[in-house]
Amino acid sequence: MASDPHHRLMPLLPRLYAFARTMLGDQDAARDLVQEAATRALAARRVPEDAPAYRAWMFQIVRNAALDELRRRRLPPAEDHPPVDLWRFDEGCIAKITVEQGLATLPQPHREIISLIDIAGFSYGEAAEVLNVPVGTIMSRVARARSALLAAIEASSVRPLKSRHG
Amino acid sequence: MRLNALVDGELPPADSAELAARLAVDRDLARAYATLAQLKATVGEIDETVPAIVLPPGRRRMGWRVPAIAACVAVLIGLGVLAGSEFLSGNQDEVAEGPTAITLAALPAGTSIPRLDAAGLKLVGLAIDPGKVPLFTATYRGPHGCRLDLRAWHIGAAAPALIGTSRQRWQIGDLTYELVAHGMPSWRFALIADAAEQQTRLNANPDRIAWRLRQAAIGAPPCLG
Repeated sequence: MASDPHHRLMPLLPRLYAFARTMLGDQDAARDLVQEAATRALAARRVPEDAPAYRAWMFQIVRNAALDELRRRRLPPAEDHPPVDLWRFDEGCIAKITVEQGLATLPQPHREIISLIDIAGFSYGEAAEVLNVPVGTIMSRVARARSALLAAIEASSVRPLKSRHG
Repeated sequence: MRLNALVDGELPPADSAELAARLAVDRDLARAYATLAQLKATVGEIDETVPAIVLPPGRRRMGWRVPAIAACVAVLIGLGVLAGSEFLSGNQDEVAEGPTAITLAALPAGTSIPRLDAAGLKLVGLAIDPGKVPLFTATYRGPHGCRLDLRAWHIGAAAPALIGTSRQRWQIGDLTYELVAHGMPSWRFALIADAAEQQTRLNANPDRIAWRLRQAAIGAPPCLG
C-alpha cells in the first residue's frame, strides 16, 4: 500500500513560510497563505508521489497564491537598484537585518529567485521546474538578484555592528 | 554569473576546478566570492522564526490530520519557534463569554489545554508528543514579557524539571498538570493557576474561571526575572 505523500508536508512548512514571507514581505499574510496552500494541497486529488516532485508542487502552490495576493494588492513595482561593484563591496555590511531589509525592497522576481535558491534550497534545475523556465535563465536571474540585493544593502543606511568575540 | 553558480555548487566539476584555481591567485575574485558566499549564508538564516502553522479546523476531513497538525506544531516549536502566533486563539467574542479549554484528538481523552486569553496570555506554542513525558508543553505569553509553561504527564511518570519562579501542580484523572511561571508576581500567578486548573476539570464553574482571569488582567505588572 502506498504511503500518504502528505507526510512530506510538515517538514516543508518552515521553508514554505520563509518563501511566502519573502515574497509578500508580511509575516501574517505569509502564515495565512501557507495555511491556505496546505489546505488546498490536502484537498487535491492528484498528489506527486516522490519527494522532489512533491516539494516542487507545494512551492508552486504557494508561489501561485503569493502572486495572486501580490496582484490583489496592486503594489507599485519596486525599482531595481543600479548594479553593485561586487569587487569593492564591504562584506561587513552583510548581516541578517540588512539582508532582510534589502530583500524587502527588491522587485518580486528577485525576491522569488533568492528565496527559492537560498531559503528553500532548490537546485537551479529544481527552481527551473518550479518557475517553468530554462536552467540558464535561473543562473542569470540568480546573478542579477544577488547583485540587486547587494546594491540594496549598500544603499541602506543600516549598518550592522561589528561583533567582537573572545 | 559563474561565480554565483560556483557559490551554489552548480558549476560542472571542470569549470569549478578552473574557477577555483583562479580564486587562488586573484584576490579580488576571491573577495567577490566570499561576499556572495556570505550573502547566501545570511539569506539562508532568514527562516529561523516561523510561527505555528495549522490548518483551519473546519477543513479537517481525514483522520490523520489531527495528529499531523499536532506533530507539525511540535516540529515548529522544536525548531525554536514561538513567534506571536494566533494559534488556536479563537476570536475575542469567545474569550469575552468565558474561556473554553482546548482538547486535541492527539492527546489522551480528557486532556485539556486551558485558555488564558482573558488574562492577557496567549497560547503561542504547543508541543505534543503523546508517547513521551510530558505529553505536551503549552507556552503562553503576555504583552509585558510574561511567560507560562503548562505541561502534563501520566501520574507516576517522572517529568524533567522545569525551571521557573512559581509553580502549581494538580491531578485530574490519571494526569498530572504543572503550570510554571517565569518572574510573574505570586498573586497574579495564583489567580491564573486556579483558572487554568479549573479549566482542566469537568463541571468547572465558568464564572469563577472568568472572574479569576479578569482579576489577573487588571493592572497586570510586567514579569521580571
